[in-house]
Amino acid sequence: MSCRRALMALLLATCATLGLADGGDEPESGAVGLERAPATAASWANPFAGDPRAIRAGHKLFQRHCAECHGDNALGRGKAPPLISRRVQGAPGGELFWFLTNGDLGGGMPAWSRLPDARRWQLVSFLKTLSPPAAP
Amino acid sequence: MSRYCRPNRLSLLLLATLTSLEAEAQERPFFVTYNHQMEEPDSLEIAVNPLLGTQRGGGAFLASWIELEYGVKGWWTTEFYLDGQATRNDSAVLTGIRWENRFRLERLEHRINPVLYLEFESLNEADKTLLEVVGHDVEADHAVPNDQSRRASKRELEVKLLLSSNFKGFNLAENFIAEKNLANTPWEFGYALGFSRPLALAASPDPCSLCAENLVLGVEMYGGLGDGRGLGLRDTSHYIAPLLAWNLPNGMAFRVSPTFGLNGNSHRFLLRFGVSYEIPGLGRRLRRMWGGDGA
Repeated sequence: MSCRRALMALLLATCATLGLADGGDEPESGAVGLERAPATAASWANPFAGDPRAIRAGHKLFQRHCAECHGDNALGRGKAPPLISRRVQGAPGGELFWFLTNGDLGGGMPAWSRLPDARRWQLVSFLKTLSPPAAP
Repeated sequence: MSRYCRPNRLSLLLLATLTSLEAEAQERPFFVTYNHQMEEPDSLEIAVNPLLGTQRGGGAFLASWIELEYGVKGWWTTEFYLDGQATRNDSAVLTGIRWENRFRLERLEHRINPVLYLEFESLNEADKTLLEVVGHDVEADHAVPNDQSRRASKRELEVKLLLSSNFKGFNLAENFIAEKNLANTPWEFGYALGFSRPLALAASPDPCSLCAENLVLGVEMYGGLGDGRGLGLRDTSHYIAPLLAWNLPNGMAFRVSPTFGLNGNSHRFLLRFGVSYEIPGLGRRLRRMWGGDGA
């Protein structure tokens, strides 16, 4: 096989791969995967709880890493769920931290374990400041 | 306006994505070692990675690879590489292509996170990117003039087991490499180890570019382990490379790594650079543009 044919084959394979990335197994809005968190996660304490600097840092991190999918105002976008939902806002901070760490790899949410623990807790601090929608 | 300069949908999309003010940028700091960090789904990273090398018995060279990395799923990342090199007092040649796929084997974070790496390579012997060292790879392999080495092509399958752990802000990655020339040659083996940490673990509340939270320091070490006819650390080359990565909030990332040979079979000194740009959500935008729901 010549180099040119190998290149064509690889390009075709790449196109096929991109075609597979249809997001078809992503979760419906509202289903966020928090239910998979272990029971112990609820007891994990946020070391930045109540720290306004951490909330600002979390907002900065949200804009950098999360807003592309969840929207600038965390209202959700496409199949990325809104983060102002009662499910998210009612979840203990430790559950949110667990979910940020592990993500939902089959559902389109990346694992943010690449961010140090401190930054994930800062994100949790910011997420907990978002207002849940008013009760119907 | 002539039809040749009328902006089309693709150019508008590229303009819109490249001018995004905020983008994810958390580039893997290593050049050779892989950790369990995957590309975000639907995101495309474009990188250029030049390598300046010196060699005994041959001219200094500039090798480089262009890398396109795409997140197919949260657990599956695919990458396409185009390699080339230019050698002083010799010539500049394209040296081949690579197509790699990485699959996370566990959906949840563990103390040690395994990833399976599969790569197909169609290269010629002029390749000097040193993206891995396996078997009995030595410096003298690169002293062959390009007009001879480029005629010897090889197609190889490379399999790696990537193990990676995060603790207290540190990342430790170990890679075990097995490479098989699809012609009748034995399996060749190699290793890569990496260790990195951001200079600051917490983010500052204010926007910043040149600040500790955006800088990552690390070191990686890699080399050959012999082949199916004889395993071992001898008669091959080994390198150690401190590295610095700078991840900018706008999606750009820069990396630099002075690399030192650890034995007489190794290049004495190599200098690696990396520049990358991440386009978040590109797949989603393309699907939205061409009639999908874009979600």
